[in-house]
Amino acid sequence: MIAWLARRLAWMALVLWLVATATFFGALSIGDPVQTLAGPHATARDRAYIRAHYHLDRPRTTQYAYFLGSLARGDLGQSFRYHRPVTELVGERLPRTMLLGVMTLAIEFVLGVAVGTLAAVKRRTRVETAVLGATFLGISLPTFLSGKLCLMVFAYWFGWFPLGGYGTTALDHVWHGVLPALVLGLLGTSSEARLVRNEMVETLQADYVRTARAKGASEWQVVVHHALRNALLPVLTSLGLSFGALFSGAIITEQIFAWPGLGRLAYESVTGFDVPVIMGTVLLASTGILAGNLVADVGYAVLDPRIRRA
Amino acid sequence: MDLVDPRAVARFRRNRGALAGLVIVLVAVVLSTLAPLLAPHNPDTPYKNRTLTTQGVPIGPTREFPLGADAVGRCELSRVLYGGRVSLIVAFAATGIVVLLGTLVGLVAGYFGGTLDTVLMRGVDTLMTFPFMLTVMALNRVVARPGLWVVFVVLGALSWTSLARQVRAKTLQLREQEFVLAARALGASTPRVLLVHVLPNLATLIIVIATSVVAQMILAESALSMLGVGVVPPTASWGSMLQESESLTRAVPRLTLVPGVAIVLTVVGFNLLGEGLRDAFDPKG
Amino acid sequence: MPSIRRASAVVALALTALAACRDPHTHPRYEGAGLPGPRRGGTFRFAMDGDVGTADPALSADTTSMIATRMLHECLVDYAARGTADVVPALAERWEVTDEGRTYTFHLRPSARFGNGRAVTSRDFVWSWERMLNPRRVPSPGADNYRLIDGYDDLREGRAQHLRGLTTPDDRTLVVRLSGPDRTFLHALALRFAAVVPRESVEALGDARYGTEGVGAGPFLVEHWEPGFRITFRRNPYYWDPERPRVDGVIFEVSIARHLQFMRFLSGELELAHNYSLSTADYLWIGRQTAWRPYLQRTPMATIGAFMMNTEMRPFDNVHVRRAVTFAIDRDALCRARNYRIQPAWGLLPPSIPGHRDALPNAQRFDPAEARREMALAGYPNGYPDEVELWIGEGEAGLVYGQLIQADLARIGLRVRIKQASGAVYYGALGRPGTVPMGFTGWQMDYPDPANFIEPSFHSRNIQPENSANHAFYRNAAFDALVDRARVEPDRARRIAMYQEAEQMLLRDAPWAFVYNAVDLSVVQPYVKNWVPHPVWNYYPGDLWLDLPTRAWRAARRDLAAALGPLAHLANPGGAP
Repeated sequence: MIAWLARRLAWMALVLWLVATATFFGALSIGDPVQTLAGPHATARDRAYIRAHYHLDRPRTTQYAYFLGSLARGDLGQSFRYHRPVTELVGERLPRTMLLGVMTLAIEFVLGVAVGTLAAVKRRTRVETAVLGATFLGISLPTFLSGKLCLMVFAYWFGWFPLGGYGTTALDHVWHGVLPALVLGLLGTSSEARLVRNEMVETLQADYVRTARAKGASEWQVVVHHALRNALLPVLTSLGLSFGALFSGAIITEQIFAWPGLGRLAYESVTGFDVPVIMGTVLLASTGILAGNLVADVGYAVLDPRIRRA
Repeated sequence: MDLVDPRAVARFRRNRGALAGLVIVLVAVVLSTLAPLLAPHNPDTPYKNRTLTTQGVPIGPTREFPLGADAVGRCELSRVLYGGRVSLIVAFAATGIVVLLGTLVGLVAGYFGGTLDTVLMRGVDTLMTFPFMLTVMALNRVVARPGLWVVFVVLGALSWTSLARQVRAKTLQLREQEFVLAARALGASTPRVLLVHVLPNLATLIIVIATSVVAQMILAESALSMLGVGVVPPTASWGSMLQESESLTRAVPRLTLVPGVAIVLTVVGFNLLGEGLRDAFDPKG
Repeated sequence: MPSIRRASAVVALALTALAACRDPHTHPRYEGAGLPGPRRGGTFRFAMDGDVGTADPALSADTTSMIATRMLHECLVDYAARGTADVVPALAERWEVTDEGRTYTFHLRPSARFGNGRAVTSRDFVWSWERMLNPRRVPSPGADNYRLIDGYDDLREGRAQHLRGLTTPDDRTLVVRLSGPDRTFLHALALRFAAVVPRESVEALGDARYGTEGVGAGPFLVEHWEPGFRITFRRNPYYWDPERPRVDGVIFEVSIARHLQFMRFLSGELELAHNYSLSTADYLWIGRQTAWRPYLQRTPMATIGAFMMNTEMRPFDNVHVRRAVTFAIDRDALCRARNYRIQPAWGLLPPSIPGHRDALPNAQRFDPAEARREMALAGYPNGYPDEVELWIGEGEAGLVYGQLIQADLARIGLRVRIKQASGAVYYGALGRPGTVPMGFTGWQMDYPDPANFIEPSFHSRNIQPENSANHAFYRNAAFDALVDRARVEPDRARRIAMYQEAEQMLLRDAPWAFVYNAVDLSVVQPYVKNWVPHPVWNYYPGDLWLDLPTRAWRAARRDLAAALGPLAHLANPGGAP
C-alpha cells in the first residue's frame, strides 16, 4: 500500500510538471500580455520598458527556466494585472470556491440519495417515473440556462434570493451561495439519484436483503441499514471525483451569479493574458483533479478490500 | 457474429423513452439539414425596417417572422434552424474525433499492453488533468483565425480520454476471449485480428458512448459560445444565440428561451437515445 | 412515454410562468425626500463588470482601475465637473508659465494633505514622479507623457537617480523645467500618472500592496478592499476641498456581470446604472417606463468612432477610394440602428473639444453619387474587383456597424468581408503594418485637447513596426510639421486654428471615415442629485449628493408582494402596482 501510494505521488508530480510545461508555453502563445498591461494608449517606448520589466523580452526557454526555478520555491510569480503575488490571489479565492463546492456537494449528496432512494422504494410507480424524468432533465439542462432562469425567476421576480454576489458575513456568504449551489448541484443530484436508484434496485433484490425481510425487519430498517449502506460506496466515490473538478471553479455559474471565486479569476486571466495567474489557476485545478482521483482510489481500496489495486 | 442482435432491436422497440429520443434526434437532424429550405429568411440579414420598432425594439412573433426578431432584427426562426445546423455539425464532428482517437488509443493500449499501454494511459491521465473549460478557452485564443473547425477540433481533442479508457477495458477482456485467441492461433495478422475480430465487438459500446458524447458536445459548444469563444459572428449557433441574448434576458426572455429549449430538447433526445441503446444492447448494465 | 410528456409539461409550465410574470421593478423603489440644496451624507453604490487590477496611480490604465484611482488620488491640476475642458487648480492653487513655455512654477495649497493627515509638500511630488518614471521600480504605461521634463531620458535609462528638471525652492513650490515648450503639458499633469503619493505609505506597504491598501490625497480613502468583488471607500477627512465630496462613502462592486448590475439597480441595490451596465434592450425598456424615464440621462461624450483605412494597403492607397468610402456611409442609419446611443460625426474633433465646429467646412457627408464619382476617379467605375477585409473587435456594437457598412459599401462596388477578432488580437493587428486594410477604430481621449485627438492617430511618428498608434499608417510631412508647430504655439486661439487646419488636411486625405460620437447613458435613483457625467473621469462620484431616500408607499406594497412571491401574482393578476 505504502509503495503504491509513493508511486502514485511520484506519478502525480510528473503529471503536474507536464501540465505546467504545456500550460506555460500555451499561455505565452495566447496573446501579448503587454497589450493588456499597457492599455491601448501607451507609446512604443513605454511598452518596451514594460516588456523588459516582466522579462517578456527574454527567450521563452529562459523564461521557462525562471518559472521552474520560482515554482520549486513555491512562488508562482506576480500577476501582470493585479501586480500582486499569484499565491495571494489564489489563496483569497480558494475558500470562496471551496464554500460553493462544499455546498454543491452537500446538496448533491442529500438530494441525490433522498430522491434516488425514493425512486428505488417506489419502484414501478408514478413516483419513479417522475423522478427518472426529472433527473433526465437535470442531466440535460446546461448550467448557463438553468442558472439564468433561476436568477431571473427566484431572485429578480420573486425576490427570494439575493441577486448574485458574495455577501458580507459568513452566514451571508452561505445564503448567497444557495442559489448558485442549487444550480450547480442540479446536474450532480440527477446523476447521483440515478446511481443510488440503480444500486438500490439491485441490492433490494439481493439474497441477504430477502433474508433480513424474512427475519421480520421493518421495511425502513431494510432500506436504510442494508440497501442504502451498500449503495453509498459508489456515490461517495463519484462525489470524490467531482470534488476535484470543483477546484477549477464553476466558470459559468460564477459568472452568472457574480461569485468571486477561482472560476472568475481563471476566466479573467485567460481573457486578459495574465500568464502567471493562468499558471496558478491551472496548476491548482490540476492538483485538485489529481487529488480527487487519489482520494477516490484510496477510498475504494480502504472501503472495499476486493478492489485493492494491483 | 451478428452486428445487431435482433433481441436488442426488440428491446429498443419496446422502450418508449428510447423511441422518443430517436424521434427528437431525427427531427433535429432533419430540421437542421433542411434549414435552407425551411428558413423563411436569410439568418444573417438584419431586416431592420420590418423587425425593429422605430425605437429599435425587436418585434414579437408575426406571420412573416414566426418567432419574432432578435436584437439586430434578424429572423429568430431562421437563426434557430441554421444555428441547429452549426451546433449539430460541431457536435457530430467533435464526436467523430472523439470516436477516432478514443478507439484507436484504447484499442492499441488494450490489445498490445505492456510499455505502450503504460505510456498511452499515462498520456490519457495527463490530458484528463487539464481543466477542460479553461483549456478550451485558451486554445481557442491561440488560433489567430477562429472558426467552426477550431471549436470542434479543440472539443474533440480534449474529450476522447474517457472513451479510450472504456475501449481499453473492453479490449482487455476481448483479448483473452476464445475467438480472438483462436484467430491468432490460426495465424491471422494483427491488423486483421483487430479489425475483423475485436473492433466489431466494440461497436455497440462505442455507439452507445458516442451518442451521449454528442449530447455533451452540444452542451460544450453552447457553453463555449456563452463565454464568447465559440463560432464567429454573424454565424448563428444555439450557443451564440444564447450569448447574444445575454443582456436581453430580462427585457425579451423569448430570445433566451428559443435557443435554450432547442438545446435542452436535443440534448434530452440524444441522452434518451443513448440510454435506450445501452439498455437494448446491455440489459444488465 | 410518460417521462417525455412530463418533461414537456414542465417546460411548458416554465414558459407560461415566465410569460405570466410582469416585471416587478417598473417603478423606483425609493424616492427622494425633497430636501433643498446639496447635503452631506449617505453611501453611493455602483458596479462594473471588470475588476480593478490596481489603484496605484503609476500603473492603473484600464477603465475600471482608473475609476478607483481617480477616487483615491489627486494631482496638481484637474478638470472642472461641468462646462469647459479647461485645466483648473487642484493641489496647486496657482502656477506660472515662464521661459517661453519651458518652465512651470506651481504653488501648492496650504490645505493640501494626504489621507493620513500629513501635509503634501513639493518634495512629495518629486518623489512620486521619480517613482513613476523609474522603469526598474514600477513599469508605468503612461511615462511617455512626461518625456519633455528635463532629465527624463537619463532617469529612464538609469544614468541618473533624480529628475534634473524638478526643483523645490521650498515645501510649497515646485518648479518643473522642460527640455522644450509644450502647450499640452498641464493636461499631462492632470492625468493620474502624475498623482502625488506619500512616500511613507508606499515604503511601509511595498509597491505591490500600495495599489490596494495605500492612501493618497484624493477625495476618498479605501475603507475595505475585498478582492474580486467589492471596494468600500469613505470620505477623506483631509481632502483639500472642504465642500466635496458630499457622500460619506462609496461602495464600488466589481466583476458584476452586466445583467446583474441592471437588475440590482432596478431593485434598489445600486444608485447608478451607467453606460456599461445598460444593454441596448435595457436602455429601451427603461425609456418606456414612465416612472423611470425622468432619471435617464444622455450626455454626449468626447469620443470619435470611425472606420480607418490603411493608406499603405490596396485599394486604400488610393485617396479617391478612401474618399468614396467617406461619402458612402449612411451615418444616420447607423445611429438609428444603435438606438441613438451614438450621434453622427462628420469630422475629427468632437463637440466640447476646443476647435470643434458645428459648421465644419468640407465636412464628410453621406452622398452616394459623389461616392460613385470618386470610385470612378480611382479607376473603378464598375467597382473594385477584389474582396476587402473589414476588421471589427468584440461586442454587439462593432458587429452592427460592420454589417451596415458592409451593405453601404456594396452599393458603391466595394465588397468587404467582416472579420471579428478578440480585443487584444484586434489591437495587435491594427498596429502592425500591412495587416488590416480597413478597421473599426476610434479614439477615447486621455485629455480634452485637440492635440490628443490628432497626434496619436495621425502623426507619422506613431508608425512603428509593432503597436503603431497610427492605425491608418498615414504619412503627410506638411501635416506633421503643422501639428508639431501647434504643440508649442503659445497663443491659444492660433493654436486651435492650427489644429483646425490639420483637421482639414485629414478631411482631404481621408485616412479615416469619421462616423459617430458616443453618447453616455446613465440612470440614477430618484434621490441621487447633481449627477453629471464628468467630461473626463468615468463615473466620478465626487460632486453628487443624496437626497436621503425615503421608501415610497408603493415600494412598501411591492416589497410585500415580492415577499408573498407567486401568491401575490395569483392574487393580483392584472393589477399594476
